Amino acid sequence: MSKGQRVAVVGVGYSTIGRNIGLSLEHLAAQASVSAMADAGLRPADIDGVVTHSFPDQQLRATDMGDVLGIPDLGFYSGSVDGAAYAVAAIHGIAAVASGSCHTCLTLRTVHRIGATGSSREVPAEGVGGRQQFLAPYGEFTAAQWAGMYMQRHMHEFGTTEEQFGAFVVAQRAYAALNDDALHRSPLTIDDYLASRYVSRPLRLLDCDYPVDSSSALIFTTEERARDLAKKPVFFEAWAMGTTPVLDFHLLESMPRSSPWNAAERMWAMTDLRAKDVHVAGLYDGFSFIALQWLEALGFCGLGESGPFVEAGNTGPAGIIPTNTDGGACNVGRRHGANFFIEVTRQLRNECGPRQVAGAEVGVVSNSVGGFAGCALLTT
Amino acid sequence: MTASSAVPAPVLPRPDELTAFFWEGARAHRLLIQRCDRCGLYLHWPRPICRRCQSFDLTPSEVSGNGVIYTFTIAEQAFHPWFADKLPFVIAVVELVEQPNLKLVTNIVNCPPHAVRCDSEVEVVFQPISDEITLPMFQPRPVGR
Repeated sequence: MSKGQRVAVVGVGYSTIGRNIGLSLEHLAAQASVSAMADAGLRPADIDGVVTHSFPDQQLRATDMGDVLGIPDLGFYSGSVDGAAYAVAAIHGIAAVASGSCHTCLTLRTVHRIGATGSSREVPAEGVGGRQQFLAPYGEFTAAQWAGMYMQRHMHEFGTTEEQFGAFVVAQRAYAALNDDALHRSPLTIDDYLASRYVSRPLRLLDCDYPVDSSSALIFTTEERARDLAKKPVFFEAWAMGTTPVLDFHLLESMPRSSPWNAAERMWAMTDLRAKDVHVAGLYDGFSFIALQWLEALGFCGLGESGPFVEAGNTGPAGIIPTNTDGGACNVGRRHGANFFIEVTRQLRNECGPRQVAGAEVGVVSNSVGGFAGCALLTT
Repeated sequence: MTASSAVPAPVLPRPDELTAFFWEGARAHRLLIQRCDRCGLYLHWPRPICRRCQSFDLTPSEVSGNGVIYTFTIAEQAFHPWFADKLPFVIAVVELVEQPNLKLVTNIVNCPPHAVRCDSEVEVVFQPISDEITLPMFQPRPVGR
């Protein structure tokens, strides 16, 4: 396939991030946008594209963000509530710049805290409609429950252990300890992991990302424009979305081999680079098992091999593929995929200080699992 | 009697034009799954069109109620008061024998949660939760039945 014009990441930024900070979605997104513009050395008038991705009940319109930020005219905008979180916003933005629909695109993922393990769900007195009518009456209300089912199936097919899921959680906490922006930085041992409570066995609280209010912004532009900007450009070498034939996260054909496999295959078809060429990875950890599925789907290890792979330390500093060097969403808080794009960009700029992966020139990022997923490959 | 001592209401499905047959069947202790009149494909959840041959002619069809547990989780936290006194309980994906990957989400009952295993055989059992609504659930299937 034709990739169109080469697309660069030229600015990254975050809002204030935390719990109970009391800022609107629009305010958070404006903070992140201003931060990313400052990073790039761009003004609102330099931007002609905005993409947002939102939870359906937290919608933030791309057109509204153009107005809020003082962008005079949007040649491209997209406000998605569908699919693989920030990767959807990213790939819309990449495609828009690559095709020439716009030249400089601001992409945003903004969330208010929703707990996967929090309080009781409200149920209408007249009953639960739509597809939820086949789930909620059985007590199936939250993603943490299907996540437990994905872990169970992987353990059954491949002999993966709870300690191996825990090894990944412990490894990325060690990276978080090196990141001043991480919200959880205290050291974690495998015993701490095993002592954390089950939410939906075998899934534990420490397998879940940390729900917060956050906004993340990245700005993309053409290679020609990127050469004139403040920071060293980082380029998208390849990118892809993927889905499964049966989309529902419970009913799809194979939980261990879900949409990340389709997205990864499509992404690798766009490039001559291979997993062995990648120096750093940012793999979505909405639940820890998702990062393990991406390790397999992207080819860092074989199908079913991620448990022993992480237990051997291969996602840590001395491993085959340093992974989630910011600490992952379990530790930096839920930024719904965008943190991986930002952290890998910073790694490829050599900006990561004590957690910098020496000589990092190729990085991979990913988002989601189950019915829909997205991933991208970045290079210097 | 205070509100806090009231027995919580069950979480009920709200049947619609597409799904009413499923719940009417369950109430009559029959497991009905939508099936394509043209190509014979079973479809769950119910939908307007066959995903294999694109026929709009779909009819509820009774299945055996036999299947295997594809995967499960043991719920250790209730997300609605109805389930608070039922912990721990098992939420599972069951694959029905009629067709590869014909799956539904259900509870496994009449089995200790820690004895549930992936790929073990189960059969449907009908559990009323209100005057109108009965849920198809599954229990271990005795060997040889």
